[in-house]
Amino acid sequence: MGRVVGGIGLSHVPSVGPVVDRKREQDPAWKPLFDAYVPVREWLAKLAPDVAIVVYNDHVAEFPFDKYPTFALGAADEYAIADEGFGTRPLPAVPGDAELSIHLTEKLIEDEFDLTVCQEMGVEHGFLVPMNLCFPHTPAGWPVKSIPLQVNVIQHPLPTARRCYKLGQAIRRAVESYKEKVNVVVLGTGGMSHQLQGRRFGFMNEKFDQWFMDELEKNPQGLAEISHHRIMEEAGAEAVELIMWLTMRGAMSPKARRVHRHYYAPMTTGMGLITFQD
Amino acid sequence: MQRFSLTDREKELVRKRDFKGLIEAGMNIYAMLKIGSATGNSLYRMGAQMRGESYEEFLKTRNISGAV
Repeated sequence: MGRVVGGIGLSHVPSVGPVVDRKREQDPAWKPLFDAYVPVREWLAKLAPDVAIVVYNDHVAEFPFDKYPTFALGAADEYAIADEGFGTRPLPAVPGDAELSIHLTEKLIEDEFDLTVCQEMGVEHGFLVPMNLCFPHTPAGWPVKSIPLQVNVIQHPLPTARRCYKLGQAIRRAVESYKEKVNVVVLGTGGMSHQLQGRRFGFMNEKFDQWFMDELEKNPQGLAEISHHRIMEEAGAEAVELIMWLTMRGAMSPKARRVHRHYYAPMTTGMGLITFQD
Repeated sequence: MQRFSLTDREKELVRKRDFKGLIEAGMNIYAMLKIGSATGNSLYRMGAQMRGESYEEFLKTRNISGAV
């Protein structure tokens, strides 16, 4: 049967992409971020997941606003690298697990999550930056198969934090009902505090971010009641991406052990990292 | 811009690279980033303008301004 063996909450700041592509990870301004992932990568190597389910949002690269899904699940054996408007990053296509995706589709829809199912889906920084940080690629490709789960956190009305948490719980049930032996990690990505528009551009709130990680660890059910309005007011408009961390947390057991935690806020986004193991 | 049915006001905002005005007119930030890429205006340059600061002034407000 399938098992969810680990969960990771992490930011998907786009500026990390060019740092990886230009091999600037050891630059003084970036080293603190990449150093935090050294123990995470060692931990992941021991967990040896077969599949990473990456909960993320597209930023108008693959999904334009003419038709916009609330939840979209990839169901392909390969995902292309999408062009975000500044040229396609030099990364290998990401291998998928279509068979597990089809199982997830069936179980999640049966569980009343009415997904948009994508047999073709390009992936961009929301998905790729977390992959760069947790599962570095080599010329041979990526070390793990992935399943992208795209959530609408940019075009209101958005799904509630509670809905995202329940989706995580449903993902756990779906993985555990899979007939094949497969170890899965779930990545909840985005945030933390940041605002990219208007006069409040550059706003961050470390106090909120640390509180969010505390609650995510100890009181996820309570945290799932948080409103979009509160997140946007206290942590910036784009911080609402944080509701996707609750999907990861919902896929872990309530008593899951927190393993790593890190925070770095150099420019305009609180870059958080938290990991859980069951 | 004609092809995408922009109003005269919207066209003017794009021509003037008035990012603050575009956001106030209802522009989505992620769509605006594509205009930024095409016109040589990074997110941080657009952000400085929206804050009413020069790029250099904006960088001074950051914790580690080398992380660009």
